[in-house]
Amino acid sequence: MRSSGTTRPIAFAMNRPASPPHLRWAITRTTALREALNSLLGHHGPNVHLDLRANAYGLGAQSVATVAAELGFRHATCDPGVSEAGLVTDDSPPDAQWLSLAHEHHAQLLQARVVNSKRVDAGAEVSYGGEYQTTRATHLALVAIGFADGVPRLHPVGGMVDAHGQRYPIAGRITMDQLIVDTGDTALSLGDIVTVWGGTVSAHEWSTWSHRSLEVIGSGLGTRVEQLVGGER
Amino acid sequence: MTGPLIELNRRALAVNVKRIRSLLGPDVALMFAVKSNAYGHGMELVAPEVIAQGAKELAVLDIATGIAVREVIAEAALFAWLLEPSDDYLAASHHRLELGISTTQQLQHIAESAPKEPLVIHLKVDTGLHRNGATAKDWPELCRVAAALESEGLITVRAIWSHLADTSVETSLSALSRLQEALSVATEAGLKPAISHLAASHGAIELPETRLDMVRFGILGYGISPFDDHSAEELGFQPVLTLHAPVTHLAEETIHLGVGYQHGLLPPTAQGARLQVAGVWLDLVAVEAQHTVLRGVLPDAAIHQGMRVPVMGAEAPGASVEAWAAWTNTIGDEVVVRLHPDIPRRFADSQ
Repeated sequence: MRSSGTTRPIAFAMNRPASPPHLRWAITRTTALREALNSLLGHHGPNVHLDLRANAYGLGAQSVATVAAELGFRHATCDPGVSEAGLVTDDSPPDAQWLSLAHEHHAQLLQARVVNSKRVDAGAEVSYGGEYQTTRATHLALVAIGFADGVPRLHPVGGMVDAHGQRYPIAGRITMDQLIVDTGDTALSLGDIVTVWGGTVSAHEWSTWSHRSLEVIGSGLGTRVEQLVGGER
Repeated sequence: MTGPLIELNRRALAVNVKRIRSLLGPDVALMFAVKSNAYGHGMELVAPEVIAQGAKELAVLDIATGIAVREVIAEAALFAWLLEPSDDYLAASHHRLELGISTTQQLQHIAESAPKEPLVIHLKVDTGLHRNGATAKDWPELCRVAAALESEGLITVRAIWSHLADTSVETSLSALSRLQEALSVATEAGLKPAISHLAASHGAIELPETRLDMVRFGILGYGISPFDDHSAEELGFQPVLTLHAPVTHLAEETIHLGVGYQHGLLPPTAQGARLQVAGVWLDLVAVEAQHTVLRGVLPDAAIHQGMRVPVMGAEAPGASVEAWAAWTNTIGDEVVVRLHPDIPRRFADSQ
């Protein structure tokens, strides 16, 4: 059902693509993905039936299938239209354990840019419903990604994201297209990159906060999120 | 039928647009939000229909979406406001988008893009949501820079606007007065915005004085309630969307429907989810990758492989979008925007 899409290879370093899109994107890191699949191979051998449906749960079915075939895996179920020499489906139920390992290895970065940054006083109510109040004068950064892009709308509010390698709390309600980060004394700049998961915050944490499986979360990645592939750390 | 299908009720959409028009009266304009694939309903179906029903302006979120909507809608105002500082302002200009601007940096980049025709701008002030918009401190400078660019013929400031937090009547009234203060600062800076806008569905219903010159209608336009304590029907709106799926597996007390979380459905986390199939209530016991599992006492012969079952929305008894939202610990907006764009969509009367 989900086409494997037009994933485009891109060179990047320091988590920063050379020419990233304007607002939001997901990067599949093939080196980390290879490590994760290798560890699966070591424990369970090459006959694991890899579940690569839903565009490999947002990681890009073609990228994952290619790496899996290179490592010697034999069985995978993909969406129609995705094919990889050496991988065939088999009768056992497809298994998504690879996905958990991939996220443990931070094989996907979900990232978006800061589009507004401001200093506010203590006691400011942030986002819909006023469910978050600043407890001190602080900086708020508005990030161009929300639940329409597949970031789970956490209820009750909460969650963390990563900016410049630091973890920061999400301030209040995640909205359809945006979320707000409370960065304390640090002011993020317009255009700075925030990592929703894959940096110091993992997709596993998002799964815990949202009570949704990694498969459900990965199936919800929206089409506004451009899919990129990167080879290095 | 082998996979899921989304059908839209054209008449319900028309009823909703008409209802908004009668609520707003002749002096308040309607901007209909078609961002996020028209809240999961299908932008390419919804946008032309609401324009045909008389909407003159569409809210599209960002420049990329605006360009996609412009392919479908040649002549309406299209409004985008989620912008990176160095976004593609030339493309915005080329596709005649109107832009919601919050920072002087954005204005500088617009100036550098040297639009051939003045870009139409809505200047955004933060009135307490603390999301986008300039703070009261930065607002005079934003107005000053905008006025300078306007006099150079690079932009036209059409509107001053903001966004309500929908927290309480008090915070909404305070936002309204901050917007009015911002308008006088803008006027002092030499700007002459033709309109101001502040409210979306929630505020426009709860507090009519926030309607100002234009209201941005999103979720309620699709017949889905933004309120905990009022259904859309109580407010005179009708749900537009129905998600259907076929029976793909039939056993003694279990049936499978061919729609699952890979199509965007969220698995229920609360008790009590059930669907009606051929007039019989069945418990919804799981949403799996490609199917939904129902269990109960099946009526003889009334259910057969391949038959189409309404799973969510207008034609699914007891399983409105709001009901699904309650089962999955979220709001209707998230339930519908997750519906995968590859699911076929059509108007029910155009088969």
